[in-house]
Amino acid sequence: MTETALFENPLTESNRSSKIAESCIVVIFGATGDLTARKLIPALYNLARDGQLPGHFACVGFARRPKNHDQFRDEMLEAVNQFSRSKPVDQQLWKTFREKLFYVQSEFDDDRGYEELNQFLKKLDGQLGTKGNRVYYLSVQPSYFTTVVEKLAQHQLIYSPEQKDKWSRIIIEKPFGEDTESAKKLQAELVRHLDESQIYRIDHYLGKETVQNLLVFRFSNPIFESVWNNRYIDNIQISVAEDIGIGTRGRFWEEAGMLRDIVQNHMMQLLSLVAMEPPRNLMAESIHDEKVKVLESIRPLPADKFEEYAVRGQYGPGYVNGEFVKGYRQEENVNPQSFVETYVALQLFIDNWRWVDVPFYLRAGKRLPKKSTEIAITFKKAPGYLFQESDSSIDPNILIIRIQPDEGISLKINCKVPALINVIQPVKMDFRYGSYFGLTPPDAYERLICDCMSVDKTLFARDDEVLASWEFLTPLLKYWQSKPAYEFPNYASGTWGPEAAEQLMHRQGRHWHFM
Amino acid sequence: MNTEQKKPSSVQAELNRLQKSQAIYETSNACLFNLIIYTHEPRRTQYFKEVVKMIMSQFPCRIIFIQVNPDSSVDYFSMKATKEKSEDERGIVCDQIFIEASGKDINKVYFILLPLFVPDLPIYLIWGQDPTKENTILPHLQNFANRLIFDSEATEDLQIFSWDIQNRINSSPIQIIDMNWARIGGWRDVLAQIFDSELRFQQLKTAKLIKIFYNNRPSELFIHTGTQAIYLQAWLASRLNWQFQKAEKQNESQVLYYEFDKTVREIHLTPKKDMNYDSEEILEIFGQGNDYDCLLKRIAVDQVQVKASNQNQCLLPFTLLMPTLKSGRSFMQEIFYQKVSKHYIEMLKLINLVKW
Repeated sequence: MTETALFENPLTESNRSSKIAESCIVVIFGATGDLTARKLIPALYNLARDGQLPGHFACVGFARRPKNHDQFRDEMLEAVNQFSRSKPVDQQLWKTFREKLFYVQSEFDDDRGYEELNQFLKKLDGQLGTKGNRVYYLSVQPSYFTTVVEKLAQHQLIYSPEQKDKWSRIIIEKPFGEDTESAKKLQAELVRHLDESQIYRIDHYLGKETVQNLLVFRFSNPIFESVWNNRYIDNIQISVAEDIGIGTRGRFWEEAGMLRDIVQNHMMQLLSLVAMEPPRNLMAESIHDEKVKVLESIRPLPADKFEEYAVRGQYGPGYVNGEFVKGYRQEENVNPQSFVETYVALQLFIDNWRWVDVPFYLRAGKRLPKKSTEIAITFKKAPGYLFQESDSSIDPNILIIRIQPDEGISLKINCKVPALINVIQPVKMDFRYGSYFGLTPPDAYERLICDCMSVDKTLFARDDEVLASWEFLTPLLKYWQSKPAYEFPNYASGTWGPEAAEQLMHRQGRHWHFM
Repeated sequence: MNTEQKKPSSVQAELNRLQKSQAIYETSNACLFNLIIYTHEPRRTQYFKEVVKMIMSQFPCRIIFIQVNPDSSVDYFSMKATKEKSEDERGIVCDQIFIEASGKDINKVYFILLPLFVPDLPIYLIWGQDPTKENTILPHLQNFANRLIFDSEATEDLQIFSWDIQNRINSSPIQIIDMNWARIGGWRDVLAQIFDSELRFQQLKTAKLIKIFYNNRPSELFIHTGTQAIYLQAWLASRLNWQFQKAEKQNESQVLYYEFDKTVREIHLTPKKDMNYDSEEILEIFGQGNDYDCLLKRIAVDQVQVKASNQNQCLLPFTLLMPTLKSGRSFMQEIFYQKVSKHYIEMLKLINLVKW
């Protein structure tokens, strides 16, 4: 079932730039956590600042710590002051925005808390005109997902999708399970109470402007789409590099690891956007259909050759940005003998007509020399016979899509150096978002929360996408779990990862794109 | 960074020289489109210089400012080129070319423009004067413009202006945009957000009286202070499917009578003076039906407070933001990116019916 907006307002005009969300109340479960302060409330504040928040709106925090409305509002003001992309906080705006923030204290499994929440929300509907519409944002540990959803259903806080006069939706954060089996189990539990149309799985990478630009770039520029295939492309590299370590997330990281935290979600989403076929239209379902086809076409890694296709690493002590940093095993709440990976490199193939024999290289790592996320598309070299007399080697053309930071696109081409002889020099044609578009783009969470309130699922992960990526990665996960990584740590912080990752490329006569 | 007068042939060389100069060496010379701004009067020139600052903060572009004096018989032509840096830390630079002409030299302007465009980028023309008045340059300029942007503030006769615009929209493939339509974008969004359900929309549709208060504070930049109010009421009436009956003046107010569901509905446009806001800005909207009333009141440059009640319910007042006015972003997007609005076309049909 696909949910559509309930009322087509004659006062709005479709396809105009302002996407105004429907009146609703957003309830944030786990509202005293880090995500609420760093991302969610600043996102709502900036939506209000940009006039994108509906007039009839409220946000209710639901968490265990005791506090009243005013305490919650004061804490959120501090959070917005610190984390909002627009500063300083507009005092006039904050005065009205804070009146829309409320707090309900309860344990996540306490029926009284849900009853209190229900009554409170109904009262707000009467005062604020929010029409009974609800977004439940589950900013809680995954182990609480099903508890919260069950309680919401039990207390009639979730409606049937057939209900015409009001709606309810759930936003859940990654990870969606830890492997194929747990992901299927989570899905089965969610759909006992919800229709798929009501489930919004957030992957904040999809909310980034540069990631959204991938579809526009590919499908509105035939010059690129016509060479976007195995006839012209030698390899595609997707890299997610972070210079920071795991910080205070030791407990979480010991359970998760890089494959679960970054590769299974962000990187597989980027892969599917880069590799997908043009959708038949821009409706959410059409785009998801094409993404799933890509994910289901990934050739399974050969069970007896995991080592040839996948590399894992763990950072040791080293220097990042000139400062000495400790290794993973010295971090807080980490087992000093831990075998959890903080670096992954993979080679994979997509078995379809467009991509057969084109290797896709994925790498993600913590404590690398710099923070950078990019997609590097290396084209096949030109036949070299024309310029073999000159001393210059002809570099392949490389199209780089910089996701963050320094968002933009560059193309490496070859040019003749002005001189009396033929000398060829690679140069870069460069487009930078910051130079061309004066606005600070909306934060990913702003876009995604607004989309959920506007019943747009394009930028959320569908259940089959999630399962397809787990199907591909779970065998590797299990293999690594069965084989302790005695070589850890195997790269120093501040370097580009383990030597084995370099060998992965060198064996193919290639090298990692230097970021 | 003003420079001396330059010959047309040396303008690009001058821009290149400025780009290499130390002052702007580190900046990025991005360009999204070519923008021509054409005016006669100094009053309108001053207004558009303010608009240019807003544009530059968001869209790097090449701006060609043409100021013509059609009343002078003295032949005069001058041209200057400069690079203006945006005021924020991003260091965006926009080329600005200023052309002044009078007498017979006005005829040169079209020819001089042709080599000045940055190739392959859209060309937008802001015509700062009344398009209903004859002009020898406009027919030429609009031939290569991708978008024609008019401002009904410049017209003396709004009824004729609306006919003219409709004809242009019907006969030309290029996008025809009206700045005053963009100026009321914030209020349109606010109304859409408030009346966002079937029930609420019906309450608005069956309102017996709507009053729109606009600012008629004296201003050098705006002569027709009621235009935005006229636009807003016409848009609203067209969306509500009200049928126009007649218009008349009552004291200072303009009263428009519509009919819907066999009942007369009135819209009053009433001037008020408020020195806190710009001239012509809409200050308040009041709506009243059989069992519903609401008041939308401007409480800050970009904020509107809403109070609404009906027989069964009195909602807590709440505040909505109108980003159109503060950041100029929605205004800019309407001017430079949106296609001709169907709502706008419907609105013009109602404006046609009244001798304003």
